[in-house]
Amino acid sequence: MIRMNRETKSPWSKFLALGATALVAIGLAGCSTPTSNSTESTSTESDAAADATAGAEVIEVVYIPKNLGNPYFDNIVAGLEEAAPDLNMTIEVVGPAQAGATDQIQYIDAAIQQQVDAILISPNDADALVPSLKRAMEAGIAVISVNSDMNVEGRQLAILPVDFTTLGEFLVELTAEVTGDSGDFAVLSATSTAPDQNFWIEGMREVLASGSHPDLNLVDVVYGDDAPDKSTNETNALLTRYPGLSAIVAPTTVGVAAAAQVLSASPLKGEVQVTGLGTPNEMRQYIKDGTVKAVALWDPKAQGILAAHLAAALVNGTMNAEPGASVNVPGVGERVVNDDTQVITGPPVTFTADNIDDFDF
Amino acid sequence: MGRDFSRGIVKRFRAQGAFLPAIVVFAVAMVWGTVSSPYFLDVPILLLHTGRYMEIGLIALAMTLVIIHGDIDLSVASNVAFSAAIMGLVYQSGISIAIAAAVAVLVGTLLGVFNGILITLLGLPSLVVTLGTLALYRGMAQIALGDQAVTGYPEGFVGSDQYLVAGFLPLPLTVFIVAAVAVGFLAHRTNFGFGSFMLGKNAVASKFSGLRPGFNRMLAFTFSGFMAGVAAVLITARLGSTRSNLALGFELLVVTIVVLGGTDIFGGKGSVLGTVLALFAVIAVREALAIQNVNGQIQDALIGLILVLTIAVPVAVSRLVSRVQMSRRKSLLDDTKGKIQ
Repeated sequence: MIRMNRETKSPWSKFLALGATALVAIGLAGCSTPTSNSTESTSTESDAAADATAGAEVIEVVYIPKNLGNPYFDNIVAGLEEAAPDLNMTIEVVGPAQAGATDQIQYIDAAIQQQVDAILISPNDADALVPSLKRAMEAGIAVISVNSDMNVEGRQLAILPVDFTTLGEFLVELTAEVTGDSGDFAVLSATSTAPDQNFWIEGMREVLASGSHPDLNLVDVVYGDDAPDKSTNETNALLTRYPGLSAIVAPTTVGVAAAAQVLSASPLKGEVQVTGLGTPNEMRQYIKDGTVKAVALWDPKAQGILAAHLAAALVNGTMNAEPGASVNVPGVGERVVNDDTQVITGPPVTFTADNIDDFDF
Repeated sequence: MGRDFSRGIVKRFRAQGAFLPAIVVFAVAMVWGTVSSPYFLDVPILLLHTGRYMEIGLIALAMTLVIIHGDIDLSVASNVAFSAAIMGLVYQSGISIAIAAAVAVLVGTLLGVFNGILITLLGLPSLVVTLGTLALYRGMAQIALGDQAVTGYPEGFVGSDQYLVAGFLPLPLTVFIVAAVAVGFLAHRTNFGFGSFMLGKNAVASKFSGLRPGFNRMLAFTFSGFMAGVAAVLITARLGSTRSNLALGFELLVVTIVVLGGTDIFGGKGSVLGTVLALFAVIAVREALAIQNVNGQIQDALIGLILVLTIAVPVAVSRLVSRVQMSRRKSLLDDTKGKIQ
């Protein structure tokens, strides 16, 4: 009796297992539909020919950030979305969970398949995306690299947040502003091999050597490795080593936040200034409690606005992706394509107690 | 005799419905993709898009053998990175791309042999050894390339992933199909394959049955390294550049696909066909989600959920069924008892 029952069990469970798996799979597919924020591609007839004549057709744009859930890129998206309605443009934002070198390729391929008009991408790798983006351009899609440049073969234009060659000079001016243009200051950098930071620090040294700020002295450069704990230790070490220090300048967002945190709880608060490159959200409390007078960074939202206008100009054919071409962007100004087919968004924005609440990233 | 036996295993395995989850997931994804986007069901494009997954697929074929043995090879992705790095450096030094590619396959194979020696000759657990070489090989790739990328591969080599064999079958997919048939034959139609399943079921018994478990395991790790080398060549042709973070995290995707294909993570059970079906199920899900602009986090979560469910649901259902039958049997027994009394 028992044996027989056992034998009848097997086909039953198999059948049920199949049914259950199917149900689950269908359920999953169903659940994920609403999260896909897709703007049901209604304009299937918007083929290349129609786009070239421009005007009435909606411009479909896909923006692929480095990774999702990053407030910095959310602000680029905010800029895109602000500009989109005036340009008759729809913006889809889609991207990988991690900033892996090849994780963005899937989305480039999907955008080609969807026959979008323009791909905006903040590339995770300067070279690995080139073959897929080349295919996109061959399919008549405008491709713009946003926030950093990549191999020129993979994009038509690149939008850079700021002119990095002038950032060293900008940081010296910022230091002069918060210290009253005199005193000893130290730099708290990222890692000792970080190419950007090293380039900017070199720029600072050059400006100081030119004698335009005779009373400012750069006494030391230390490295917090972009780790909060190490940056904190290095800040404490600087305060002990240089008793008369007037400022710590950190050209990295992790470092500047760590230094500000140390000083906000220190008796030296207000005496030793902290400045550098920091995000408004991380620095807000230190600016409000008086630890920090001013920090600076570029505005990702302005980049988004510029990106939307450049994409529209390329798709509508009102601008060529060539050096010397220019576009006039409301709220940003006129921007000219430089010799490296890059467009620079503008100078860094300085955040002080007066304006910090206007920014959210 | 061995053949008949292994054939029997395959049949029994198939009869248990181990392929159903992958087939169901594949079918649902394809139907859903087609219904929800007018751009989805474009067969030539979908075939081309499979190229992105074939590196993972090739490694998964070898990993199926490794896992059937009851072993695991976590070093595969790092192996890809190091093999590709050496390929890049060899090419950069002015040697032809064909020789550079051969060197990559050789390097990958040697790294696999190194794993195999530590595991079979020294008797160390494969999980520990390959966890170590996962870090070691990646570190070697980083030392070899630093933060630089190798680029400038020749035109005919870069983009060869888009080449269509017989006018419709992309090259990476063709390579994969040939490899899958070969590995399937090896696993399910030879004495070697028979030994592999026996070894995974009971390593001690297989040793005393005239089989050569050490040889099988050594060969599987070597083959895993070889496939990593081949994958390194394919991925370089596809991306046209090499960086030390290449293929980061691939090992988890590979293991996911093998397990999704019904191969028992503890060894002794599994099939190459299951791995192939699981690979195409994952491709279908990813492509159907991508055309809907579904973000990476949701895609990853969904693949993870599908894996958990395909393992858990059949077990849960069969437990539930047997419990219902038990209680029914019990009440039936009580009834008859009552009638007798």
